[in-house]
Amino acid sequence: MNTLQNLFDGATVMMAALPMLMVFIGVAAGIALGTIPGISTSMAVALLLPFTFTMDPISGMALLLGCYKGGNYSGCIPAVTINTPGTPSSVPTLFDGYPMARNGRGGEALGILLWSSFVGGIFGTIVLVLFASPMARWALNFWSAEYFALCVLGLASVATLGGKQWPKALIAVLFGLLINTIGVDPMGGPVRYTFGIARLFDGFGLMPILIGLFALGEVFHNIENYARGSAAHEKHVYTYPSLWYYWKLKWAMIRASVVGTLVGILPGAGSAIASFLAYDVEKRISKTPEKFGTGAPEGVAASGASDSANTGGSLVPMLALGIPGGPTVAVLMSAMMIHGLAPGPEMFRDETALVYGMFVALFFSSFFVLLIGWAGLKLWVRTTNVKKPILYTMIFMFTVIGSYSMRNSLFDVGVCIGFGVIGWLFKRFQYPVAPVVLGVVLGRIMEMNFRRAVLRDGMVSFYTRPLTVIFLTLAVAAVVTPFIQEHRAAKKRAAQAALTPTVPDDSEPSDLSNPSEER
Amino acid sequence: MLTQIGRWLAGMAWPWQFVFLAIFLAVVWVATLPFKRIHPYRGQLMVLAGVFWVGILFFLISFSFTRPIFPMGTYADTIPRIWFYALVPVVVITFITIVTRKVDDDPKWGNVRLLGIILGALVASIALFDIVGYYVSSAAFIVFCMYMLGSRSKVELICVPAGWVLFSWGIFAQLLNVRLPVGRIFEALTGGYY
Repeated sequence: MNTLQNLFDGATVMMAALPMLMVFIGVAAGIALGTIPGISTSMAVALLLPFTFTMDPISGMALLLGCYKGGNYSGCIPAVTINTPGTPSSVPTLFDGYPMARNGRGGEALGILLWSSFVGGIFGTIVLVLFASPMARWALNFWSAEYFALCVLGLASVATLGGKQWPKALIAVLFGLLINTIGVDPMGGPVRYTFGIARLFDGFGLMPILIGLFALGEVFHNIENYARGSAAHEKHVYTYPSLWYYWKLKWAMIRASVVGTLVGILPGAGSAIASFLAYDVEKRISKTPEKFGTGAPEGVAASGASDSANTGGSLVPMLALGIPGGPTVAVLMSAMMIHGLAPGPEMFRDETALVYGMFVALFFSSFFVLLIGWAGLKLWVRTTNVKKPILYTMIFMFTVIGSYSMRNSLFDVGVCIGFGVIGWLFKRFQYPVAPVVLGVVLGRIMEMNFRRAVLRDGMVSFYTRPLTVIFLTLAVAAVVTPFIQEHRAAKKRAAQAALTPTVPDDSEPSDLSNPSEER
Repeated sequence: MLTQIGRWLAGMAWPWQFVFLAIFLAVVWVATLPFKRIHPYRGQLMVLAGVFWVGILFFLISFSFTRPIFPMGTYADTIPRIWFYALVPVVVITFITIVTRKVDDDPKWGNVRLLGIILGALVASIALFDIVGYYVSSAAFIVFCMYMLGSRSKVELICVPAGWVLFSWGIFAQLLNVRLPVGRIFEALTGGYY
């Protein structure tokens, strides 16, 4: 009852003309900036920060939260259209989104992304409103051993990412983990594997690796197989499915929203783990897991919803404990401090209307994302119909400026091109690229937390702390289960083959494989 | 012994690391020559060998890391060695998978010449950032790349680079304050104003 009253107070403050306008402008700016590869959500929010200095705290936070939501959604758009992830958490979106776009299902993929982003955003906000304080307290139970175990669980998704090529997927993930050890030892030890390059003291930047592996690797691959003429300029006719089509993906979106919110609550865990985990969960429970990676709508829905739900979850530790869970939340927190607010438990007591006003702003920003995203859907889709010479050249330019703009460093551009060549070779010789990213994203968090846990309690902490044991057991099960299932399926197939001499033709198509039938 | 090898490898500059990698790959390539049945998978083997070399290199260099005098349980060498120990059996399994022909053949090479030319032009344009500046260099690359990919429309060849220069100047240089290189020539012309 108290929550409802607080929510009503927050709505009273927020639902005035100026704050609502600010939410709308924030969402529009976030979407516009987020679609540009190389501009992260945190950069977009930081860019709008100075505009809030002269505003009242409510309007200022409305603008920034809108931008956070908008940027979070639109970071996934280039992943679908040009295979370029705007953020690490949008990487799983491209596994299925890009193949869908290549097969003329870009409108469908972007529609799923939009609706899953909306569902995830609403889900994350509801959790934030109802359970912010208790969940923040729960998150405090997470120590280094639990974070390490969570990363191991995230890493276990490599078993499904690789599919039948699992040895190559393991090679790729270990390559990612190895290159992540480059730089100064995170526990204050010696400098590792820099070979005299001072720029490598901080290790490789994440974005140059991501952009290089996916965007450049893909363009290199396409140029190698490039044919001038009509085939190079072929245009897709896109279909835009009905609402009923999206409704069929509701459970995938809700499951991913739960994963995204729960992981988002953990400070420092990062939205990338959530996205990979949500994708992994969806693939495991799917009746047609073999379609994942080739254009499965559930894959796009899972990563989109998880990424969006993560925004609500990541605000929990900031608002309830005063701990920023990620870079964008850190910018939001600094904005609050500039406005004389002190994020933390006291804020719920002293600034109730503002806190709940922010929750209302998050609700409305999800609706505005849906509105603006829907209006822009055909525009985003058109990027895939741009002539190939222009499209490939523009991807080159975005990768160069995107990797440069992170740290104003030409070295990062070189890294991006280097990883582009690696991505091309991996793709060419059938080594999956995604596990490399998984290793790079999780490597440093794993190492830091593993070593902190050992330093504090020794190896005991990995088998005496209940949550750690649960996560590690789940990770082992996640790796072993596909092999057991495959073994059983092989035995079943062998038994069937022994009984019937003829083999049935094709497997049944998924009820989501042809959206045009829904119209 | 391992410590000495590690120190020696760690002390070599990065170009040498590429030379060592090339030597290792050449050795693997030569070693596969007598086995004609694995020739269709040599590309996959080369990638595997490349990753394995990174693992070996990191493992050997890890012996050169100094440890603090007080016990910490784990050290700078712990994690790289764990990844290497995990890598060895996976390399063996992958190698067996490849040589027992449980994988598809390497795809045939496509238009590698075109790719090489465009990649070379990209690297050259980046190298020229410091001399002629970002805007001139990137505009030239755009025209070259589009031409190589078959674009012959004069309108496109003029409008796309011009549009990109305006876009990158407006969004990245002005709005986001990204310091794009203006180039030594432009700096000299403006008397270092930029």
